[in-house]
Amino acid sequence: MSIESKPAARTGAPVVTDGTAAAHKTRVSPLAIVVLVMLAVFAYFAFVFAPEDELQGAMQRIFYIHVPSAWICFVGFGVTFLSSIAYLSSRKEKWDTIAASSAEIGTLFTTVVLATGMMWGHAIWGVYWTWEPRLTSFLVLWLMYLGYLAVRAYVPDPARRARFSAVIGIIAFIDVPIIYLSVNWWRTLHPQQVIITGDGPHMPGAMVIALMVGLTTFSLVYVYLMRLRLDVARLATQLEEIES
Amino acid sequence: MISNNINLFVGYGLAGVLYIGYTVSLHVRRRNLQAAIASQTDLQN
Repeated sequence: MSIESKPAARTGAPVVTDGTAAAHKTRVSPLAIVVLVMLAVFAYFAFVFAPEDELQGAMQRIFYIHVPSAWICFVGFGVTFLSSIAYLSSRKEKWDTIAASSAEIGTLFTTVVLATGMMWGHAIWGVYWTWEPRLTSFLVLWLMYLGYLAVRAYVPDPARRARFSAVIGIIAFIDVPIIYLSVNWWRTLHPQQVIITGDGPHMPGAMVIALMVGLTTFSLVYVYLMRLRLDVARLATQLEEIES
Repeated sequence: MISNNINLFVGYGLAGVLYIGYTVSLHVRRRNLQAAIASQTDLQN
């Protein structure tokens, strides 16, 4: 995760001497180091610093990865939503690239939310899955962004692909506020909001601190993955230009 | 409680596999693209 490689030169096409991957420098980016350090700090706060929940025991510690992953997936899809609007209004390719990259990473975070949520549900509710509003609306979100990625994979014409996926990226985001408010709108098995409430967080301060450390860590993971994904997109475009 | 600990381990394990797997896949894609660009540039030269 921490190793990044870059072309020998950043100006235009890379300087190549022997036609092999050895022509590229390999280095560790400062952001990768920060992410690795923060992951270690996160592990300490999630498993040592935060007190054990009286009712749920150790299982409650999955909260520190489940909730930040959910918040960051919303941020990721928010970036896709705004970039899709920017693409449709400007038709600039860079907005399509940002939207696609963020959707891919947002889908990764959504998958983590579903996986950790199922483990938590099985421990507390006795079932991996139940068709209640929060879980169902989250599954719908995941399926919509899988559809978004499928459109990107199977529509060959770049302009049509960008236009179709931008429309899906805008429509799919409507599900985000529905997910967030589902625990208020309907009677759900899923817990109510415990952090953003009218009268402050409904949990011990040490747990809130551990959650904030998790949120910071996974925000950095998102930024790191976005940089990497955008780099891949840039290189793919560069290769297409060379081949055409 | 044992079941709880297994679920916690599996939950964090799945998350780790997904995050690390995706990160590695991006590194591999980038490395392959860099190699392809390098070989194409060599051919043109």
